[in-house]
Amino acid sequence: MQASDLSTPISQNPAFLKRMKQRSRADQRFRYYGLLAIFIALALLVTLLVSITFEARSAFTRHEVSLDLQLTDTDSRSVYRSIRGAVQNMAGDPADRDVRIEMSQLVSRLAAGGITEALQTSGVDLSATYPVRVPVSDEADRYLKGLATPVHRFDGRGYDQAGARIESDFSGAMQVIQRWHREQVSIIRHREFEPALRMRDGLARQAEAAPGDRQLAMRLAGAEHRVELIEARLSDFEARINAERLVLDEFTPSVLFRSGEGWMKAISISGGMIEAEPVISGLDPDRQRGEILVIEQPESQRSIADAQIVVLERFQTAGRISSHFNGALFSNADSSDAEFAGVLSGLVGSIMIILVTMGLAVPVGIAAAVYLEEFAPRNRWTSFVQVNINNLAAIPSIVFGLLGAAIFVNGVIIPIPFVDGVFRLGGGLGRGWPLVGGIVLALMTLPTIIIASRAALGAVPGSVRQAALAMGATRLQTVNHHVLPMAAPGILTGSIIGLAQAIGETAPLLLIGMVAFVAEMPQGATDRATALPVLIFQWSTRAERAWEPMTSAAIIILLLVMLVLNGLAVLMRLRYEK
Amino acid sequence: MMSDPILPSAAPAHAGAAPQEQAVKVRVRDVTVSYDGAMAIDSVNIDIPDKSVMAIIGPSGCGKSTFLRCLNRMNDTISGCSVTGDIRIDEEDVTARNVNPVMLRARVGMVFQEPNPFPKTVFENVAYGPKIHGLAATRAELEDIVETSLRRAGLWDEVKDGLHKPGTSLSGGQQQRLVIARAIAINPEIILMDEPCSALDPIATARIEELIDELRQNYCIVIVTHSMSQAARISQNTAFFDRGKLIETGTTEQIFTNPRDRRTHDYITGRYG
Ligand SMILES: Nc1ncnc2c1ncn2[C@@H]1O[C@H](COP(=O)(O)OP(=O)(O)O)[C@@H](O)[C@H]1O
Ligand SMILES: [Mg+2]
Repeated sequence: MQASDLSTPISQNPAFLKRMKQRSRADQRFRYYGLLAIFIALALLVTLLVSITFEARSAFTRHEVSLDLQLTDTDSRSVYRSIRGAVQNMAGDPADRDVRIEMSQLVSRLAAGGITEALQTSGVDLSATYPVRVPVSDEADRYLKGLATPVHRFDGRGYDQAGARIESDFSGAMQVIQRWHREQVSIIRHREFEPALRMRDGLARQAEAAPGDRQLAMRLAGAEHRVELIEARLSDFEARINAERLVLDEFTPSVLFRSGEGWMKAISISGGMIEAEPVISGLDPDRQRGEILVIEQPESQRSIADAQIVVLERFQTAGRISSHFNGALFSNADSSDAEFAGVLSGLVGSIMIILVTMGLAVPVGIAAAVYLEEFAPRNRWTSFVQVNINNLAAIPSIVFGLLGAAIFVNGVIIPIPFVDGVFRLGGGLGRGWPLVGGIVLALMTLPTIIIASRAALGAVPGSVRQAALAMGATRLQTVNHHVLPMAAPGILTGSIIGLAQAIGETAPLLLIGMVAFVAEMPQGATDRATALPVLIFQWSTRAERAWEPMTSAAIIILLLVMLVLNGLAVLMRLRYEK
Repeated sequence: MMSDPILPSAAPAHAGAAPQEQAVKVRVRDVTVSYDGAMAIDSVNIDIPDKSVMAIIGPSGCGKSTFLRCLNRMNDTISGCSVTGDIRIDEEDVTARNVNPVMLRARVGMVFQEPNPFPKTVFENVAYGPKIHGLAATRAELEDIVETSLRRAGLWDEVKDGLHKPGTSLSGGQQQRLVIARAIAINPEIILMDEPCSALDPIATARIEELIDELRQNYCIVIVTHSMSQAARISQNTAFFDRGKLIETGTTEQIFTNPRDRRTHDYITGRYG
């Protein structure tokens, strides 16, 4: 009798047993795949959140400097002059105009604005000094947060002073500088020398193959020259790695020396001595205390000058620098200075946009879905409508932006033939209005809400409708009393997904004119405004390094808004399902 | 052959007292129904007497449910379904265009095969009809209606402590009685039942049958059933459908003991097919 014969009981059929084993293994494997998929998704999410939070963390605090202002007047010009004066005073009132400008750049001109307002409401005695706390410039803030350049500090105790020569133990500083040179050598070798070599060799081979090509010969000569130049720089750097004495300039790390109130800047260094020029006079005559600062990033490669660093360090030792929670990030509108910029205007703009979107898309979407699902006859016309709603959902959002700009802002201009005139369709709404943004995003969200709502309505069992209709309920009553409440969780979820998508949209908003820099808070839905995602886009394109953490911080705030929205949806869902 | 031994007690005592003299409640003339052009029932003529139970029997797909749905115009809610012919309730034409089906359905209640209480509380289930039709002016009146209906459906004692529990948490038999309570809460004239016991166990079935027998005093009941014995136990009149046609109608006693048509005989003796 064969194994596959039906007379064998199934539990003894070897084919069945073998297949059984395979099937349970497949089951197991599938479970592992599922777990793996979930793990990958979670890991990606966590990576994203952690990296953004890490990026953003420095934007949530900022440094402020306490100044004692000698006010001459209460208008913002005079106040700013006083602020500048206080900072320059800390720099030893330099005579050089460039240095004075550098000093005044440590505090933004905008800092005067807030103080002026406070002064004008409170009134002030111009003879007294007026203590204030103002945020330092974004570059100074980056330095104080240790983001602008690595700084190495060594003890300079026991130095000997002879004119512009300071004798002390500089071996630590020397080591840092030598290590920096070694790093530069390897960077030049990998990023410049080796590619140049490859280029030269490639050209040489080509030239060999085509001996008559003059252009090729010229390019080869150029490449050879380049290699020589880089080689020269390389050997220069290599020589300096082991040099006894090094000349320092803006292309090498800076060495600053502090003692008492005085500051010196090294122009050359060796193991036991620097030659230096004074930055601020007042070296400690007792020659007991001293500190050596090695600023690793060369001055030419950073946007904070040595003189500015000296002033910041002086403020720091005077206990005048403090770090605070960056409230401006939440309470200010956009600004051209990162230390004064905040997301509030974007948040308000986004909320207005989303209110308009919600007010339009949710009722219209649900009504359309109810009509199509519960009332419309099934015919060619309704299926045409349905297909096109699905098509609408697939249209890229930027197209909705174009449409919105054309219809609501510019108007469609149709020339009327034969008479000298045009017909203008639509238009009249302003560029960058939250109202327009809301309408455009509503159009974009509508298909999502309709499709989700129709799916939710379709999932309500027909027996409920039959029961209600057979009781003598009208169709409207059937829908309102039974079908909609049962479909509500699904409709809600769909609507929230649609709205969450809308809140993160950037492209359509840019197209309807939300591109401009708007430093004022929007007053209403018909005022120029910006939105959170637009703000994120704009900040990410700004040149100063300080905008990087600000952009990440704004992204986190946008994510939080979405989280709140989704949390609301879950809450409402739970309440409905009870 | 006419006194088939398979059906020795086919005519129970109360069914024997068939009130043939009852007035005709529903008069059906030449009713034809088709779905998307495919005919489901064909020229049905039947008189349904008041204050009695009429059983509709016949093989699956013969059009019993379709016929039942004609009587409360639930067929109107099915797209592609067309109904022609003449149906009169108390001599009033209910197929006319100007008759509001909502009005008709308030007069003609319906109980479905699968118990389908609303996903709401027991109380709200029964109160729903009176609420939408405005039958109760006060909360007390409403509570009164709910209690009376539940009592008449024989469910009161079982649910009186759990009126605010979901109706869907009851057992199948309780749900079906809840649905009957819901139907009679608006005091209809006719109750249609489409295989109300086919999803129930024998004990729950017996309770429903008892209930139907009581309701007969006040209502005209039309019930579709697949159980010959059930038809014999609870109905006074029986109609036999086959392939969309009404084959035979008469008192239950006559149909079960002395069918005129060969097909009826074959069906009730289980030789059908
Ligand atoms: N909604 C419907 N759409 C199309 N055809 C239907 C529909 N309901 C019933 N039919 C058809 O009508 C005929 C009668 O069905 P039905 O009245 O449900 O029979 P029964 O209740 O006697 O089993 C069947 O052939 C069935 O396929
Ligand atoms: Mg049926």
